Amino acid sequence: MNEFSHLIYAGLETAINQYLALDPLAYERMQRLDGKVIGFDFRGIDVSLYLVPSVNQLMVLADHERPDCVIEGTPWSLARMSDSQASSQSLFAGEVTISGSTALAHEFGQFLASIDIDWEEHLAHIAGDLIAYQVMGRWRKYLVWKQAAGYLLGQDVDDYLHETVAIVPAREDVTLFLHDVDYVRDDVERLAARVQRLQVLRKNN
Amino acid sequence: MSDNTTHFGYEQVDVDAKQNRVRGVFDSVASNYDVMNDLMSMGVHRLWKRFTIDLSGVRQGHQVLDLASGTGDLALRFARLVGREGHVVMSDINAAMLEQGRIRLLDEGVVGNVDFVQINAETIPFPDNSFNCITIAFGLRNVTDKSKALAEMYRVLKPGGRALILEFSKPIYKPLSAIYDIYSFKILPKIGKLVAKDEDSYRYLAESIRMHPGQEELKGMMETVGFERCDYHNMTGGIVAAHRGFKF
Repeated sequence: MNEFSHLIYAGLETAINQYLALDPLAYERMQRLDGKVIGFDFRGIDVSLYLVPSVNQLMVLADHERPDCVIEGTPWSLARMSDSQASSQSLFAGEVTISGSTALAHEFGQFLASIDIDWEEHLAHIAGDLIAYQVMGRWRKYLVWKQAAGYLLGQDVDDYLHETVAIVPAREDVTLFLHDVDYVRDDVERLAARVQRLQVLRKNN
Repeated sequence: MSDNTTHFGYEQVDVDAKQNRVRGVFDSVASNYDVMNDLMSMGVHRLWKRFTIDLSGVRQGHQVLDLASGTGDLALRFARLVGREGHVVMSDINAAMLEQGRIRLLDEGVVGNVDFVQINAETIPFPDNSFNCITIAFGLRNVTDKSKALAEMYRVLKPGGRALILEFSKPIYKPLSAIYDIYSFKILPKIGKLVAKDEDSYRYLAESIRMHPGQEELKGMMETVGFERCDYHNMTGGIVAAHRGFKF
């Protein structure tokens, strides 16, 4: 037994349950998963953990002999599972694999996505309503700015690479080029077939 | 040790008297048991118990018997693992400890799949082949006739089931052994006196650890009563060991 690793698991369990406790309905929603065992295998770092939802607590175990489902992937790909679009891409690309009950894995994912924490309420307990309102207002504005700025940055980088320095071809140019490649390939195949037919005729004569 | 006497720590007592003496110890420590466990082991006892849970293989629908449950550290987690379809029997020979455990589980909201039974591990009042898993954590060393208790555990275990014994054992490193002795005999009773106002009970606890069989001896005792594929896992340098045996 490695005491240090079990200390990590114990700490993780405490942290997760403190997080879930912030949403007053989280444990109630978790009841559907009572007693099920969801395993996570982190590829590359050889670490596994097993989550067991139960009454008033989500247990974190270092080992379990018969999990109901196991979700395997690199830590990065598993972290991306929280995004629904990225999670589908990860599954189809084979970065994340699910063995056992895929329905359970999906249900667990839905449970995680349903966690809704009213941070303003919790902050208000510490700092008061006025400060909590102002802080959360600024935070929401920041999130909106971040999304817009991220989009604009992406556009600017795209324009720079495609138009200004032109080191990356535009999508349309690539598509046209690939069409030309297809035409040339077909022509070559036709030519090869004709040459072969002529060779056969010559041989017969 | 004569036929009529056994050890109570370093003291020799009548076999009939040991149970009462042990009861007296745990009646005294019951109300401070959790706090003292955390103080004495610096919280590490929770990690030992987590590891035992990992070894148990307990899952949804299982029947589990937890002997010498105390304040229910293992029983609480087992109750969550077995779910609504499973069942846990939380037991202890000491009514005061059992009551503490019952209150704790109720406070945690764990009800419906747990029963509380006062049991002497030497005579377990359940039919043969009743449980998927039986555990006894830091309790076997207080049992008067350990072989009889192990035989009873084997009897009530289902075929394919396993028993887990978590207990203080013999340190595997000599320097650690010396430090451990100082800690057990000099510091622990003082903590007991300060926190629980009971130096003698904690001195008994330290002495009873020294009188308990070591790793290989306990494994042999399990094999003698019929357990198979017995193994043990040392923790914290062998200060504690988790023994596991199966019934096939």
